[in-house]
Amino acid sequence: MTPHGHVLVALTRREAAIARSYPLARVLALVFGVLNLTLYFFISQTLSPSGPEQLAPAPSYFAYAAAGVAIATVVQAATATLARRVREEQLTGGLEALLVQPVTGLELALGLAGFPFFLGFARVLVYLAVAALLLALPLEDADPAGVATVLVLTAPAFAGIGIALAAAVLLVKRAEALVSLAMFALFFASGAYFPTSELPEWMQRLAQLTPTFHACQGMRAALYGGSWTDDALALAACAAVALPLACLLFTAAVGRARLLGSVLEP
Amino acid sequence: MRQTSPKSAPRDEAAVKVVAFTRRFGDRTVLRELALSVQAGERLAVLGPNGAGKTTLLRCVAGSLLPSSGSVLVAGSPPSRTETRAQIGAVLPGERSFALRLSGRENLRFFARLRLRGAGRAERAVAELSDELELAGILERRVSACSTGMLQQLAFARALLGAPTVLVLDEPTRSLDDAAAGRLWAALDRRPELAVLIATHRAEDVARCSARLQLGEP
Repeated sequence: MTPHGHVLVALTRREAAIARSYPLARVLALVFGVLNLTLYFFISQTLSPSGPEQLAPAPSYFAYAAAGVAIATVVQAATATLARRVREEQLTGGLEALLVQPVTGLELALGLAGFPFFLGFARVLVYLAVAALLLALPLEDADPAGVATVLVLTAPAFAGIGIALAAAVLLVKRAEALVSLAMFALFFASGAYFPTSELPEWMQRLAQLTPTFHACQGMRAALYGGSWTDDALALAACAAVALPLACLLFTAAVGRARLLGSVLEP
Repeated sequence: MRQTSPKSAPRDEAAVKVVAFTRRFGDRTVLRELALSVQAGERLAVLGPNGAGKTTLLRCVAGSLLPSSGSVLVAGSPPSRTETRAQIGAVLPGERSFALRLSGRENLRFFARLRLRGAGRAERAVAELSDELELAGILERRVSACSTGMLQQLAFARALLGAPTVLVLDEPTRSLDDAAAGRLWAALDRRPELAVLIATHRAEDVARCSARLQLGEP
């Protein structure tokens, strides 16, 4: 069933209004992101990679990790934030208030996911600007269209995972631990913070199957002058498969929660 | 000023029909083989001690809970269908079911936009309900600064958005002062075609209903 635009807009606007009501939290999140980048900057100043060619096309470890931080910001928005919001709504009774409205599970999933994506994009742009201005991140070879394409495709590619995690939160008590585990698994072997060539060969092969790997590699290519199109295609394929499946799963989870009574269960 | 209802159950079809309805939670059966029918314009008082299953029944009619067996139909369709829920307004337990950091108006506007296409229609619906239920003071407050009674008034207004044909009210007057309770009943009186299921412990509420359903021991 096609989601209704007015429902998605209403949900997205409400999420934005709630976020605006916490100005300090927004500032702190930005400060944390910049501090996180600064940490990688100093690590890069302190340590030298054993094989700099492994970082290519990134010219330094800081440049390598900055792309990983950018992708992690969007992935965090697409996965953990959505699951956390569903859990909050479940605990406060807000989820029941939504589920007695003429709103489908698909609309709910996409509507709650919309604003965190926009916020994630905005944060990435701020982080990259700060890193370029204050930490000498070399962006002279950056391809803005490539950066935008990779970011835009990363969102739906990971939305599938985020929506599936939100479905788990609906049905499994305290499934937040599952969300943390999934985030770790997505990033550990993805090449976000260190080259996958450091991993055992079987893990390298596994890493290439994850959307995180292609998001990080594509972002690096777009930022530092490489070819990002293959990775963008891999992300698009991932989105095309994962997003509809996850939406079906979420709709089924909402139905199951209605049957179990876990719409309200803390 | 009241919203008009563009849709209602056909004359020969019950607004709410519950058949062989059983609801279990794990091993515990809360309601067993319940049957009831509520016509348009009828007000059914759902009575019973705490734990008798009043809220469970109302949640199943509102669509947030499914029956374990049997069926619940609103205008001939199960409330699990999105289109059916457009015909149902509900006041269910949960004082925190609004976004606490937003004002009453922002909250009502949000729910209006879920039910009505077009920001203008949603805004008009909120304004009409604000006038009718005298909510102006409540709508400008942040929900976290509202009292329980204010939240109940806000929840009642939310239930009326989109001109539903069936209202499900779980103790809607519990925390209301006399004036607010009077406005609630006056709003229901202005909507004589509404089918209303109301769980209550208050004799004044029961006296305003046309039928009673006793769950558990009286």
